[in-house]
Amino acid sequence: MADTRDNTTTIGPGARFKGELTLEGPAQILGCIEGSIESNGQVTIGNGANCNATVEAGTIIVDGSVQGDLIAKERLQLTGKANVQGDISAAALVVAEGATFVGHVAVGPEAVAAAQSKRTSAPKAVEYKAATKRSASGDWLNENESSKDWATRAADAA
Amino acid sequence: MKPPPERAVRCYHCSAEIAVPAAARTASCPACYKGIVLDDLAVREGAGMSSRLATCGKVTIHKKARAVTRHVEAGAGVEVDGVLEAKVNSGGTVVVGAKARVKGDFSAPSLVVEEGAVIEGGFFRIGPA
Repeated sequence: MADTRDNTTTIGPGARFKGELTLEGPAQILGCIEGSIESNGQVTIGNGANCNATVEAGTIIVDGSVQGDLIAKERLQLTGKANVQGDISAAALVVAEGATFVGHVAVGPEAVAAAQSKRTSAPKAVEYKAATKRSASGDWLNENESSKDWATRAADAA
Repeated sequence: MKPPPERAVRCYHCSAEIAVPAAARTASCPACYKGIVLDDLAVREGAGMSSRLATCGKVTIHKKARAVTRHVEAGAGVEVDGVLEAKVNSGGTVVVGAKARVKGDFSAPSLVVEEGAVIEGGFFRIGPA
């Protein structure tokens, strides 16, 4: 007998998720999410959802509010009720009249590859926190080369 | 005598809202005294380079056209079916057609991007000002 259950991951209205969400299949966000979402399938940010996260997926449909970067490997669709504050990279973009957004936009096959490489090469927040913690402890005089700020490194190089 | 029908436009120099005769093609802004174009502008074919494309009407970049300008000011919207490289400030909807290629910063109350359009980077501010 065929499995009739829907395999869509749903963050329901009123639910609050904080962290890194990695999925194989489709997802539907109707509640509040903070962190990042990665999926090979379709991610739908529903009307009324509050998404404060970076979303990377095959197809992204935005019908709610998103604060974070969107990377769609195949297609990004913003409906008339979408509100996006963040950078957009997509192979194909469809924007309906009435959508609002503020951010950098790159659309085309090369845009996704560039965004992905930029994302993987970006320094992680954890490393930054570690460096600031060490400085706060008073060991800044004995810090190694990598923890110096850019101005100090430039002066050393000169 | 019946007064000629009027329409409201926003001056792209000083942003003042003014009333002009409906049939007028150019006018002088009573607020800043600068000349303004009221006609729709269209780039139909070939490559066009200028420092500014400005009108209170609509700017259309046709399918075989390539427009490279520093600024595009369009009071009634922009429609791109060809290639546009510019900093765009539109008072109406910006429509990027399926075969269009755009590059630059865009500011508009609303945007329609058809599937297949290519946007080569740029900062977008879409929504009510």
